[in-house]
Amino acid sequence: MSGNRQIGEQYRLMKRSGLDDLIKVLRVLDYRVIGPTESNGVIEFAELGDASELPWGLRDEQKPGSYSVSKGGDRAFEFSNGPTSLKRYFHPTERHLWTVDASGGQLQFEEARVQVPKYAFLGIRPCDLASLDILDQVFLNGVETNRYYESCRQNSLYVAVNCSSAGDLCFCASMETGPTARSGFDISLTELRSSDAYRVLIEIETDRGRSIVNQIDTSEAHENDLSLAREQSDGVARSMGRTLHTWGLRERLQENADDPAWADVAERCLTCGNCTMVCPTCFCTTVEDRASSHDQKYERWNTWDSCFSLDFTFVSGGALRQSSKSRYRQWLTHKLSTWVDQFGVSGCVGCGRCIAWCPVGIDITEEAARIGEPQARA
Amino acid sequence: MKDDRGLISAMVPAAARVLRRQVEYDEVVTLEVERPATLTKEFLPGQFNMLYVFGVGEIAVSHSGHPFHQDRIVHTIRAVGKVSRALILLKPGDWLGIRGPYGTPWPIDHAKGQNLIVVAGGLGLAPLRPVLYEVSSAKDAYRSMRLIYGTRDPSSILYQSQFEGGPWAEFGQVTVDSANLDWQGNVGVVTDLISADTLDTENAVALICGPEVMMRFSANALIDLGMREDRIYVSLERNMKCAVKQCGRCQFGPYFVCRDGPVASFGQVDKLLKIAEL
Repeated sequence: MSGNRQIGEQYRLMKRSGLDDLIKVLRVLDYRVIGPTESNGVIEFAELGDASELPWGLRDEQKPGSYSVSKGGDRAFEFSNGPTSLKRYFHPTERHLWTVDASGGQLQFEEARVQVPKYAFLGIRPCDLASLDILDQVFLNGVETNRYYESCRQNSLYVAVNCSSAGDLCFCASMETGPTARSGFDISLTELRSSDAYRVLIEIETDRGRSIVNQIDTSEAHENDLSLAREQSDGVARSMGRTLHTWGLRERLQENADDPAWADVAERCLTCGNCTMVCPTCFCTTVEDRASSHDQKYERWNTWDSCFSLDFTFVSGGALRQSSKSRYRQWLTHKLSTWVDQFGVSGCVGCGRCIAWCPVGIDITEEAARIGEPQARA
Repeated sequence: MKDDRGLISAMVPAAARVLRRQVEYDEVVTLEVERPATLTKEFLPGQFNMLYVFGVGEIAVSHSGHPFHQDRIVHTIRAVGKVSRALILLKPGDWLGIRGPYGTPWPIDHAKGQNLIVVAGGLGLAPLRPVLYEVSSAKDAYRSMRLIYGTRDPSSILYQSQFEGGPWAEFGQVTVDSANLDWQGNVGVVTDLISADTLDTENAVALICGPEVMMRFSANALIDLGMREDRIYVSLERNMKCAVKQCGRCQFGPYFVCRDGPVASFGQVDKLLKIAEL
């Protein structure tokens, strides 16, 4: 069997101090290090100065419509995820597109000059990593390249963290996006659950990742470490708090637009749009004209919008999606069904954020299971 | 190394000057605009532009000009929202922003050698005018050509001079919803004129533009005459902000109207058009 053989150069081990070193190295390389940290009772992505700011010994408890952070464990990545995904870094909540100047009598349009930060993301969950692949399809779609997104994506460095426990609302195993990151990262980390001292298994995926790992204090990894990581991953996959049955889902949602279950969920849905804000893949936007400090200038901004807003579908004569039923149906059908037609993949990564941050606790996995399935209804 | 290059957004318009403004009827205006040199792509009938009015906003408007005269960009606009209301008030010499062309064209080439049937309702004639211009100048390329146009009343006949004694007179029929006794023409809905007596639906291609309900009824009337739904084309309208498949607003089932439309075959969208509030 495996024994305690040393494994390839792709894997290394580090101690807790390795995380300090990692952040230091990244900062020396001029990266803005973005990672999870506790703030006002929530674990959110924010810029980190050092590894002590990671949410050591904190876990989150998530239920439909509820989220809280408590003490538990001794690792940095015990929690599942917070309300913010990485979306806002690549697809900012608001972005200046251009300025128009009418002072010369005619109109002059000038593109906004935007500086793209150089981010290193530390502690990306596999589900969030998968969400970036999905956003790539939207913003690098072959019709028009969103160059802010493209530059930010190219400039960034990606340090993934494989999950060592599953949250109550997690269903990445259903969406095949986790709990272990398979691609799209420079290095990935797995906190090993063992009786030994705190150890992190590092997997190196890119040359860039290797050169960074070479600058921090690591030791050789062995077959046992890798099998422990795999066991952990298997255990997490088995203990997902939620399951979404995806077989036939694309057809079932599109073919049952008139299912009475839509009206039922609409009675609970407040159409607040929280689900679209916390979703790591919801990408819809609007534009705004803002008067500049000079009265002959206007600035055009691109800002996040939601398919739950009434003016989202405004055409001559009013909004096309008046009822909350039609707006919830659009969101769910797009996310789990028409997204596949449009981009070849589901728009859902199974992070569970929309369930936790829904003020009335609507559960996407339950609602999806009810559409087109009369026997599922009470 | 930080990237500080100017990031070109697809959403930056080109400045363009209004050359001519013509009032078609109440609250409907046709603007002729000088084509900015930076808009290098020629439009095809059925495609649209995004038009921006200083400080007011931007909307999608179909091309309604002559496809052989690409030096001018022509749009017919009805004042229904704040941007369209500002657009119809622009005068010659005023400036606006334009970007485009976007979207799928009418499949005119597909109709060559066949019977072409054009059905328009109200302002839906505007996105079809480029087709009518093109077809009128190459009539021999089609086996036959019919235009059926329905509008509210005789005072709201768009491009009226083209009909009476004009180039569309020989193949066009007009019907109005209501009229006083001065009106000598047809009264009724467009589907009244979709009949086997006047239309040759064998080897035909139909192009329909108007309110969704009018397009559905017209398409179904043509299907009743034996046409296949994949030979009938409609033009869709949805809210749009980007026109490059990134704002997500123009979704219609699995389609992005800015990219997969506005022109789509009826076979493609028939089922979707039946779903309320899609």
